[in-house]
Amino acid sequence: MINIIVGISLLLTLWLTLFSSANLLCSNMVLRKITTRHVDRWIFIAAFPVFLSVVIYYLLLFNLPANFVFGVMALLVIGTGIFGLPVFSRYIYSSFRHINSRVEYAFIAALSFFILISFFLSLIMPVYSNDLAEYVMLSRYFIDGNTQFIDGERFFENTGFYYIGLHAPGFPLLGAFGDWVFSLHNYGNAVFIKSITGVYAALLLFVSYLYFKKVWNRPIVAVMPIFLFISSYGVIISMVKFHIDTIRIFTILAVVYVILNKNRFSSLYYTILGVVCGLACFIHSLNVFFVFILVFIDFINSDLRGYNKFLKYFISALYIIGLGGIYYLLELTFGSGWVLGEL
Amino acid sequence: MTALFFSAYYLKVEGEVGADLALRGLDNPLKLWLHGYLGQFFHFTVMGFLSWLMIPVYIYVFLNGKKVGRPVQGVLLFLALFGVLIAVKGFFNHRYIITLLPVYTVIVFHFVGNFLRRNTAVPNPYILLFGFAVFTSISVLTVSFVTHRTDSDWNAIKMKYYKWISARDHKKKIVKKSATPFATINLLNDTTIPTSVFVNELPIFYYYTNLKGIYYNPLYDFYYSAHGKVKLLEDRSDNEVVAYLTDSLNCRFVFTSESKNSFNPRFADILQSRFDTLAKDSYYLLFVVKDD
Repeated sequence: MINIIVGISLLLTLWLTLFSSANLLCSNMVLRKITTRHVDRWIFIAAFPVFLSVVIYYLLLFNLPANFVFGVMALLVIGTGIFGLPVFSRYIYSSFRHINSRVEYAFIAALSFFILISFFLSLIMPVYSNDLAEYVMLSRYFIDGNTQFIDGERFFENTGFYYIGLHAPGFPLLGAFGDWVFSLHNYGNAVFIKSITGVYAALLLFVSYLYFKKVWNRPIVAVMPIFLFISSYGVIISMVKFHIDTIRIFTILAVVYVILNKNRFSSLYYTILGVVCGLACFIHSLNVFFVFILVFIDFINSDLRGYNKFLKYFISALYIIGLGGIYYLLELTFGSGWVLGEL
Repeated sequence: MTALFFSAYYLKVEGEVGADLALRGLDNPLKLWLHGYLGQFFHFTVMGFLSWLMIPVYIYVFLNGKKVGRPVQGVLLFLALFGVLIAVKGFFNHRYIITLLPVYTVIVFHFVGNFLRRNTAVPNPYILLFGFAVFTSISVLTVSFVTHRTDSDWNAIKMKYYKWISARDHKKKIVKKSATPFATINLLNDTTIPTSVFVNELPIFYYYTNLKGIYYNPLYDFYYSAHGKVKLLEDRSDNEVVAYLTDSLNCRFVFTSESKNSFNPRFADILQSRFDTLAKDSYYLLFVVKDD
């Protein structure tokens, strides 16, 4: 029982510091000058862990030792997270100050309970699905310092394991970061990578609620779509069965949201678009197709003309490649040629 | 309703790989179409009938393009194109279909809400909207349960959890013996295995054991080696396959599962006829070659 309480506390602390350091970045970035909406802020807070995995990817690509990379990142993230906790706490408090209906309180309470249950299951449930085992194996190799996959080598000769996934290593790297921290406390069982499912499921519901609250300005209406959302058996399973789906869906919805709110982001739109698209690509190869189609349609629909149009979208493309697309370029040229295979 | 009845009761969806197996001639070919290519509309377990609710939205946007605005038009066009992509390239995995569900939920809710708000004949649109949300949710959930056939997910949720947190000790890189809920894995860890294990596409083997495993893909009949993909069953009789496993690959044990065996019936037959079942648990099977 004590192990479980300690484990849940560790998970809460790690996620809080992650989001807290993300909030610190958001507060100080120029983004603060163009938006004060809660939805925008939470989308960028939630995207930060993916950005972290991109940074780790590049550091490992430059052959830095894995323990050094994870250690430095953990120190930076946890350090800034703890430093930014007062700011984050004030932000959370200011968000809750506007809640004045019992329905909303009930929703927030239910969401919090869901996260706790998710953390509990992350601690005690074994790794039992094939897909999760693939990600966890890769994550474990990263933690153990075996980063050959970063250079495209998928066959691990000492064990005979072959990593068959075609996606960029965003999810396993993020999991490796968290589980590296957990391994310091002698917690195995891939606890952090499993918790990603529940956290991003809760974020999906929470951001949907914030969005509808802004649009409809009525608390009970803001929680109505949640009924629809969780009414499908497939969604329920996606939220409780440890997998990449919730973070994958969250990142691609972030892209859709940015495009739909194009006018509010004004001159920074193309940078923000490139950033969220790149991060979405770094999570799953399906998102690459998503991003390609979305950006293409946005390009066609754009009011810009001529050289200015090409320049703006070229900048977005650079961000997309730099923050996630680079993995697929390397795979196409030096690796398995992923686009020729299945998703 | 006809489609619902047909899909639910005739096809009998078994697990999440129906369309994938149908593609390889191992399952009902109708499943390939209804739960594969057209899974967004007929795989009710996954999407309920939200995709059907999107059809009036598409029609409305198509007919009122200028009123809804270009960003909305663009997103709907993207959804349509993405739906086609999923149908063509990602149909075998129902999790890819789920990607559309949150977007569909938001869009359907948005359009229904706006319709109710603008209709001045309706006295209190928000109550109607609430009723719509609840009714649709209950209906979708009912449909999902009615059409659901697989037990694997429920087994996972109901699975007895073990008071077991750190079965893997990262510092010492060992697995604590008899520490998993899987009898097959525990047997592999508790016994000294002098040979490699032939692993039927179950990466969990590598996570819970420190043994060497030959990783086999049953659908395409090859295993991974340092020299690339190598065929197993092709151009070999059953006896030759067993001899190859034991002599060339040094594998006397096979770690597999019922669902993985179904991907390659010939391989499953070889296991039944040439191997003994050493251990079995709720998910996995462990075979050992018969002593002649």
